[in-house]
Amino acid sequence: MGPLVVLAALSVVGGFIPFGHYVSSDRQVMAMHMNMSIAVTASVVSFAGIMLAMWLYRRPSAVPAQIAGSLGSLYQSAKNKFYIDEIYMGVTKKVLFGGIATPVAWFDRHIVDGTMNAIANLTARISSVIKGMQSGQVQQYAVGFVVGVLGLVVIFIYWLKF
Amino acid sequence: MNMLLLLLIIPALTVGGLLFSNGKRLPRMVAAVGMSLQFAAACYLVLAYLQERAAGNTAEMLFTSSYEWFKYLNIRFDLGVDGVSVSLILLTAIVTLAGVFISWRVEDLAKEFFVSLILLATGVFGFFISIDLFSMFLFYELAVIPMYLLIGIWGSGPREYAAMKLTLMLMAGSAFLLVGLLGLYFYSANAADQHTFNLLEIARGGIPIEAQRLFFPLTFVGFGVLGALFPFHTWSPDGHASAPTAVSMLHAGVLMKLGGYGCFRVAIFLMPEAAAEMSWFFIILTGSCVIYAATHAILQTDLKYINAYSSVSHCGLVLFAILMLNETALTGAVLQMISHGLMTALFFALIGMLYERTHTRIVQEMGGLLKVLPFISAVYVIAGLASLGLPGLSGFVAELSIFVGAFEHPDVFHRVWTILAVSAIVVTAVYILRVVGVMLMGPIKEPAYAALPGAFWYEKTGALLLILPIVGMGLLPLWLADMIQFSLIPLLRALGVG
Repeated sequence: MGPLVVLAALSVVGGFIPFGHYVSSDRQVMAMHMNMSIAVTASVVSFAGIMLAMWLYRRPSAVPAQIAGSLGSLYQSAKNKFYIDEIYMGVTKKVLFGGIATPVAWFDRHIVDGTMNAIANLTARISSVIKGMQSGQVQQYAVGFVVGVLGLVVIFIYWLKF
Repeated sequence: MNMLLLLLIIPALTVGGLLFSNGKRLPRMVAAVGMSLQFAAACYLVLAYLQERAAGNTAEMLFTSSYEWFKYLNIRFDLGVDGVSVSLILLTAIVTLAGVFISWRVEDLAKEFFVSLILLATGVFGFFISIDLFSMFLFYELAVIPMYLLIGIWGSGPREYAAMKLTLMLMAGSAFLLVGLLGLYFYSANAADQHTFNLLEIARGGIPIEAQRLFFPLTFVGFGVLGALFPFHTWSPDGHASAPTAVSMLHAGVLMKLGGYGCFRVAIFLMPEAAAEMSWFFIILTGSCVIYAATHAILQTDLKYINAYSSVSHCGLVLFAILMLNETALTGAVLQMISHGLMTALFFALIGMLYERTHTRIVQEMGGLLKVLPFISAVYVIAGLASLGLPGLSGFVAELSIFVGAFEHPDVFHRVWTILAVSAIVVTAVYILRVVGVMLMGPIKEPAYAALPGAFWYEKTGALLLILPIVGMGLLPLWLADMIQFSLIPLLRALGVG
């Protein structure tokens, strides 16, 4: 109860604090205007709402039930907060989690990350294939050298026509 | 002696001291003293910088010096700082000191751990104080290599895989970067008609547009890999998840900022025409990254993976903002680097604290922790609120500047991508509030959790070191924004918008 009283008291006087003088994006005082028509309309509507609620619910009566019955689906949807919670849950669970995040996660794990892993695996595989070339056997290197030189000779004589 | 050299000498002396410290307790004391001195030096640098500017010094870079390394190729070690680098140096000092406190309990090879951690930080400090491409590259490599050891030795889970993946991908990025930097060097010319690595001399001489078209993408991608540029971001979630707490803090908090800073300081500053021509392509990549990584985060159940994907999204936003090429968005980009550095380091610190107590990082296995761990939980909520951009905290200032700057572009392309990037805020709110709801609220999930010990003094110190600047930046952002904006003038002039 105590904190609520403090908050209520502060909310009454909070509007008189000139925030425009203290909060600014460019060190300039922010010009703030009061729109009387909006302020008065909003205050009157909310005050009328409070009064109406007090009249309806202060003492037990059959009037609220009668009004609720006559309003039908309008009352039901208002009672269920216009189904905002259900819409929110539907959008979050079905659209965001199921429709967007799940395919995104699959794409990231299998395609993007999979490509990186495939490059690494390919490098390792190529390495395992060609590492045999570095056998340390001089005879094998000599054969490679001679074949290479002969290949170059053929290219220079028959293809490049030197 | 140039005061910037202190930022290298203090960590070097700390590493020297660590090499002679044996036992379990002495290394952490030496590391804490060394990094406290480093933090003091960074604070002094900020004050000295502000004092110089207040005295009317309008030079592009302050506290400059130049030391010869290799005369034949005109390789020098050029030092200097502006408002952007000074603020990032302060961020690095804060995160490193907080990281030392958070690692207070590391007992396995404590000396080697702190040596690697401080070497990593030294690389970052060196990178931010360098104004020549050669030294920047050298320090960049120095910062990356200790990561391999830190994850491979002190990490958890599939640590060898994560360490290897991170190192190989960042090294591949370095290869792109090296070609880009060498290209800049060979197309540069200083007043004496020599090739130069000095950033200011290259900017003054200019790079031909044909060369810019070739080297801008190489440099941007090279730095972008470290800044988690889509689709080269996959090293980041695995690396963060396997790294020990302080390393995740330093990596996500500071090391990833090297990517954004490099894109801003090198790629865009030295090649502004190519940046303007090619920005559309990278805006698509970075804008996608922002929303893509955020949506990926909401499916994760491991706290470290959630924060890692969140980091990819936030760092994508930094690159996105840089590519907007205007003052407001660029200011926002630097603010976001600082804000994200603090937030993500704090997140990883808190995840480490929770893991040490509950031995799980799976959100659904925890519940009701606010009742038993009030300090850690409350700080987690504040960090979460900063991450989703609540006014009064650092994330709001940074993200608002970015989105306002991005929306200043009147064309449909920029506006569509800005709207897509903005929508990531909603997704961020989903994964942050979901974690807060499941993990911190409700009944206590395990009876054993009721006996969990609260935060220790060193954990509180580490957390407070990070949370105070988050709140400070949120409430008093103008002094920082002014410092950054003044330093953007040369870049905006190069872009033809200032």
